[in-house]
Amino acid sequence: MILIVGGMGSGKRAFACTRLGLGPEDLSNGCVDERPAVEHAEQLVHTLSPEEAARVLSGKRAVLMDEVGCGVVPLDAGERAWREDAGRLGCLLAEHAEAVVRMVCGLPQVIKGVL
Amino acid sequence: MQALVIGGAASGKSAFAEELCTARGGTVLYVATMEAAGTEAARRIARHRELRRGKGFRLLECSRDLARAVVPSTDVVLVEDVGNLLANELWSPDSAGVACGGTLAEDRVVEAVLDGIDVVAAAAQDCVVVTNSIASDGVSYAPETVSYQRAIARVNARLARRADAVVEVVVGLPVWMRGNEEMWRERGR
Repeated sequence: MILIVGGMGSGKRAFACTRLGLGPEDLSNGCVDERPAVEHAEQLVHTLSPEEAARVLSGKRAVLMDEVGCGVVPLDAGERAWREDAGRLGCLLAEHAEAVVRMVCGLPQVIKGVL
Repeated sequence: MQALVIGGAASGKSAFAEELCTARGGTVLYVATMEAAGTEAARRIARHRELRRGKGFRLLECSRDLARAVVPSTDVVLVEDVGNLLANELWSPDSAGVACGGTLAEDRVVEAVLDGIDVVAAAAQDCVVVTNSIASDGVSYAPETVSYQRAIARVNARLARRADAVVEVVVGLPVWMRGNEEMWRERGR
């Protein structure tokens, strides 16, 4: 599995499509089905624990995930918990990923493995 | 040697900072800065304690006015984290920010936190400071929150300027912005 992380609009999907040969039809959005790749994986921890989400994502070819932890701590306890869980999910996915790519301004930075 | 470790919430920055400390060897003093108010804080503190368990770190609890802390001599000091120190200085009763109020508060707390880090760093050969990335959500906040965001950015920039190593942690992986792992392990031996 290749994990692609970055802020909103940082170029994650474009990278997945141009460099990994995926099409938009190959990406499920915030849910897990038969498609080979998932975007907005951070949405999964609204209903699953980070461990459960990491398990259901482990067989995917690519997982795209927004980095959501680089802002002010949310006032709402539920949002705080979600943000923490999304962060933990990112760490779990990265641990098991063969490669991790971090997108900045549309540029890929390979921070684990090789592509 | 000094290192600055920055990351977002739950990015794995604490675990990485602890690895940096143990890589230097010797006794590690952990400076804990979170005020233990409420169950969520208690849960976070418990999680961090669990993370440190068995590593032999000594503990100094200091939520503010770090410059006046009595710091036992140690080989490595780990300060966790700048976000808490600044928030406590800005918003705790009797702290630097509240004592002075208004726009001056931001300058005062920036200096108070930097002075505090200087004091604990002076007690050790190596110092690792954990800080928080809090300014990338594109949300417009109230002036006092913006002041907090700006203060943390100022502290980060000042610490980074003099640090031997600056590392951003992303999904648990270190991205070295200055220095590298080999240099961190070997220099000064």
